[in-house]
This record gives sequence, C-alpha cells and structure tokens, in this order.
Amino acid sequence: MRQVVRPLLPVWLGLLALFAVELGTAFLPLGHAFAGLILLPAAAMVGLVGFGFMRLGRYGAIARCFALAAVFWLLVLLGLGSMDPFTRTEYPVRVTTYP
Amino acid sequence: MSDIALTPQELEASTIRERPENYLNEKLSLASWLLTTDHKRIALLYFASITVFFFIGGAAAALMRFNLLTPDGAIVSPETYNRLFTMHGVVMVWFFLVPAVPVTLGNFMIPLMIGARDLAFPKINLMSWYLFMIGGVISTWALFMGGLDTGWTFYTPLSSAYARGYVVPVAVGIFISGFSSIATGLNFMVTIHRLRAPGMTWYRMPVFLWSLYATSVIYVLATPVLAMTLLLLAFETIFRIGVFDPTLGGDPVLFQHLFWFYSHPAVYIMILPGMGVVSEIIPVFSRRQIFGYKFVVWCSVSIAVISFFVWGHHMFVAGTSLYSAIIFSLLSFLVSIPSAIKVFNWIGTLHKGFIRFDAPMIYALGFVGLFTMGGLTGLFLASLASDVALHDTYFVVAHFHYIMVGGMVSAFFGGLHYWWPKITGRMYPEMWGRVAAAMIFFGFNLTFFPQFILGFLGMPRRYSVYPPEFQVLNVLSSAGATILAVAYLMPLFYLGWSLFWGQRAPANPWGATGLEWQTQSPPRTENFTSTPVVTEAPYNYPPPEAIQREKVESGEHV
Repeated sequence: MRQVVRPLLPVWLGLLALFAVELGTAFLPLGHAFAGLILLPAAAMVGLVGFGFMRLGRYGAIARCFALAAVFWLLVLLGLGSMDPFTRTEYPVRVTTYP
Repeated sequence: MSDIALTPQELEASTIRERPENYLNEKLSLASWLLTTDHKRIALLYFASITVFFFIGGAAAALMRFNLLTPDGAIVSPETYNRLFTMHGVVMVWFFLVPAVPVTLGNFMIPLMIGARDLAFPKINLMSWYLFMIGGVISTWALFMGGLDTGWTFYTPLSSAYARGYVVPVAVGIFISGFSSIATGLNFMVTIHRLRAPGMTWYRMPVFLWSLYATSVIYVLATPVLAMTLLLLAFETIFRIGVFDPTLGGDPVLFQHLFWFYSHPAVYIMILPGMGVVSEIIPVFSRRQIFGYKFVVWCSVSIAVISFFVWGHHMFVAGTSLYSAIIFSLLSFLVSIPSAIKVFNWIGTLHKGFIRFDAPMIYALGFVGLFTMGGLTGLFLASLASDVALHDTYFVVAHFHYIMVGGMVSAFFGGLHYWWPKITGRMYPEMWGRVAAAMIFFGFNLTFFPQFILGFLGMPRRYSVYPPEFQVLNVLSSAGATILAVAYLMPLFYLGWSLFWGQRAPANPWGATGLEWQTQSPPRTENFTSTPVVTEAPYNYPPPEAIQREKVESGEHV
C-alpha cells in the first residue's frame, strides 16, 4: 500500500499547489490580453495527472485510450458548451467589462 | 426461558447453519457485515440503504400527491410543498435511482457473471458504500432539519444569492456520494477488463455487463463535472469569485450547462443498467437467443457516448442562443436511434419465443412498454417548438417518470425477482410476484398518464395549488399513486417472508445460461469452487424447433 501511495503523494501535493495558483489568479487584474494565462496552471495539472498519476509513458494502450477519452469529453463540454455564450445575442444581465 | 430453548435469533441462525457453506452463513457477526470486502455482502448493504432512501423519497411523493387532491392544497403550505418536492427529487435521484441497479444487482452479479472471485478492488468497494452512506446521511439529515426549496436541480441564483434552507449540507452530501459513484464505476471497469474468466471474450459477455460497463464510463466521466460545479458554487459563495452570479461577472446559465452536462448523462446512468437487466430476463423467459446481440451491446455504448451531447435540451427556454438550441435539438433526436434499436431487439427476441409470464418477465415487459412511452414523449421535448410550450409543465414530469420509475424501477424489481433465488437461496412466492408486477404497471399508468394530459393542458410543475378544472386528473393521479405505493410495499413483505419460509432455490431455477447460474444458491464466499471456462456465446438456448420437438415428444401441449 505504502509503495503505491508514496509516489502519488508529490503528485497530489503538486495538484493542490497548482490549484492554489489557479485560485489566486482569479483575483489578479489580468485584463483581456492576459486572460489566457489562467490556463497555464490548468495545463500543468493535466500534465501532472497524465504523466504523474496515470503514468501514460509506462502503461499500455488502455490507459492512453482513457486519457484520450477524458480529453475528448473535455472538448465536448467546452466545445458544445461554448456554442451558447459565443452565439448568444441577448444576455439577461449587463456583461461585466474588464478594466 | 429454559437454558435449552433457543431465541428466535438463535433458531434462525441454526437454520442458516444447516445450509451448505455460503456467503450468508460463513460469519454472522455485525462486524463481519460492516467490515466485509465480499462484493455480495456489500451489495446487500447497499440494498438495505437504498431501500430506506426509496421509502423516504416515496413518502415525500405520497405527501405531495395527497396535497394535490384539492385545488387549494390539502395539507401543506406552498413553502413546505417546495421543500417536499426537493426532498423527493434529491433523495430519489442521488440516493436511489443513480446507484440502484449498479451497486446492488451489479455489485452482486458482475464477479459471478464473469467467473471471478470478487471485484478488482474489494476494499474500494467497501469504501464506496461508506462514502455513499456518509453522503446520504448528511443530505437526509439536512432535508429533515428543514431542507431547501431549490428543487433537485439547485439552479442559481435560487441556490446562491437567494438561498434559503440547507443548500450547503445537501450539496456536500451529494458531493461526497459522487466519489462513491466514481470509485464504483472505476472498480467495475477494471473488473470487466481484467478479471474475466478464460474464454469470456467481450462478445461472450452478457448484455448486463456491457450495460454496466457503459454506465461506469458515464459514472467516471460525468460525476467529476457535478463535483466541480458544486465546488464552484461553494467558491463563489465563500470567496466571491464570479462564476454564476451576474453581479460578480458570472453567468447563471453556466450553472445549468455544467449541471446538465452531468445530469443528462445521469439519466442514462439510471436507465442503461435497467436495459441490461431486461436484456437478461427476456431471453431466459422466451427461450431465445437475444436478437442482434452486437447491436444491443453497441447501442449501450452509443447511448453512453451520445448522452454527453444532448444536455442543452433542458435549457431551450433558459435564455440560451437559438443557434445552440437548434444544434442540441438535433443531437437530442440522435439518442432515440440506439434506444429504439434496443426496443426492436427485445421485441425480436420475443418473436416466436416460448414465453413464460413469471414475475421477472412481467416486470421486463412492463419496462419495454413504459420505456417506449417515456422515450417517444421525450421526442416532443427534444423538439424546439413543442418544448417551448411543454417546458416546466406536468408533461415533463410524466415523461421522466415513465423513463425513471416506469422504466428503471420496473427493471430493478424485475432483476431483483430474477436473481432473488441466487442472492438469498430462496424462491419468492410467484403468485404475489405477478400480482405486484401487474399492480405496479397499472398503478404507475394511472398515476402518470393523467399528468401528460395535465401538462398538455398547461398545468405547470412544482405548484402546490391549481385551477379547479385540473382536479379530476389530479385526483386520478393521486389514486394511482395509492395503488403504486401499495404495490411497492408488497415485495417488501413477500420477499421478506421468503427469506424465512420460501422454498429452497436450486442453483439454476430458471434454466438460464450464464455463469452465475452454474454455482450454488446462495453462492459460496469465493463464488466458484474452481475458475470456470467459457466455451460458448451467451443466451445459447436451443432453437425454437428443438424446443417444440422436445415438447411434442414429451407429450406436452404446444
């Protein structure tokens, strides 16, 4: 059990740290031009899960299939989900503008 | 009491000990149950838990139907009514419908059906039950302490800026139980991948296992989104980060997008295992191979995949863009294709079969009819124009109850009766099983069919009062609910009776194929004495001509 948990511990701590960074960036006045920066910690989290937790480099086709499926599902969520806000013409409330 | 006389408990224990060694009589202490890692015992723990939740949710529904007997509301205030339907929805969806078939029948049957000793992660299986119970107890406690009035959907800003009641504890309970779902799904998938008996190829697996596999994929991929949504809601409340609150720069419709990204696939978490159960029962009681095995199993997978593409149809009138609504409408129609293929395959299996109307078969046939009704009325709600008129009316209530209650609960009871001899080692009283199945079908239709008409006439859902012209249909619906309540209570009594006085079950009382029927009833703790080897496809029943010839030769009337 300890052999299984010990290598995962730094991965988990890394994820928590990145999560804290992600949360902190929400309070930064980044503006539109740098809004994409908040994706960086998220991308690092994906890398950690893929190579630290799922160990995609070490395990076979099934693990990679499931990792790909997760990415695919994320694309479905973000792709189909963003279709509405990108094409919505009437917002129920005033859109908040960034400074 | 004399020293020699046995207490009723000791008498029962001695009777149990007379049976061949099995998972029920191996150890009898409470600790042996609460710390067990045997999938069969964990399935029974789940079964006891979800039965309690089912009757809590059912009691809330009974009070609602009683209130709707009169136009002014017979017993409770509108505020209490709001809390009642929320309690009904939360308990029934998250603590009964979502887990029901997978964690009870699935947990019990997967290792038996693939020829394994247990699930891949027995300790995680036990942990899943504890997580489920912790989540369930927290949510139920909050619901009984006063509850909340948001409905089971927790839409913002009703659950955030305008929250009244115990929103956070209920959400925390659901959040915790979500981890139980994820762990269960993961456990099932790994088990099916890694622990199949020699010779059990993917296309030799029973359809029930394919259904549970597809369900597990949804568990693992969709449930984290719900957890994430509830966390975002908490962060917005605690840290004032604008996610859903428009005054903070958030979008309330985003909550609905994220919520339904989980909750629409969750509908298929509920119905796919039911479809699997029915696909087991119909071939056995028709003595026919399932018609189009590969179509049936791939339709399960297709339904699981497509279920993620259709969530937007819940939001046609929520202010989403017309463009997105048209796309989601089109995608929603897609899911009807694999569902319809399954219905045709069940009917194809029945065709020219030697049909026996035992209780499991009556439940299964009830499922096919009710699911078809629910599915077809879903097309009206997938269609943009008609959904605008029918949204938030009783038509929607009737539609999803035809799927979830008429469909899934019928399948659950069908599966329970079908595998009861295997689970308990006892036969249930067949006549009572048939009466209960027929009463559930009749009571269900009387309860929910009038609601289609009510919705069509424009009665909105979630109101405790209504115009007097709707009273006749509401009284009919409440009358049906009474029959349904009695019918749901009946199995509790006759199945309970059979535990003590039912006829001892042989290993294979239905003459079914499948590995689970090749071991004793109830099975021993390690399931099989030696690892079985699979040499043929499932549902390998003799062709109808052979059965007919056999019957003629034996002088039986054909």
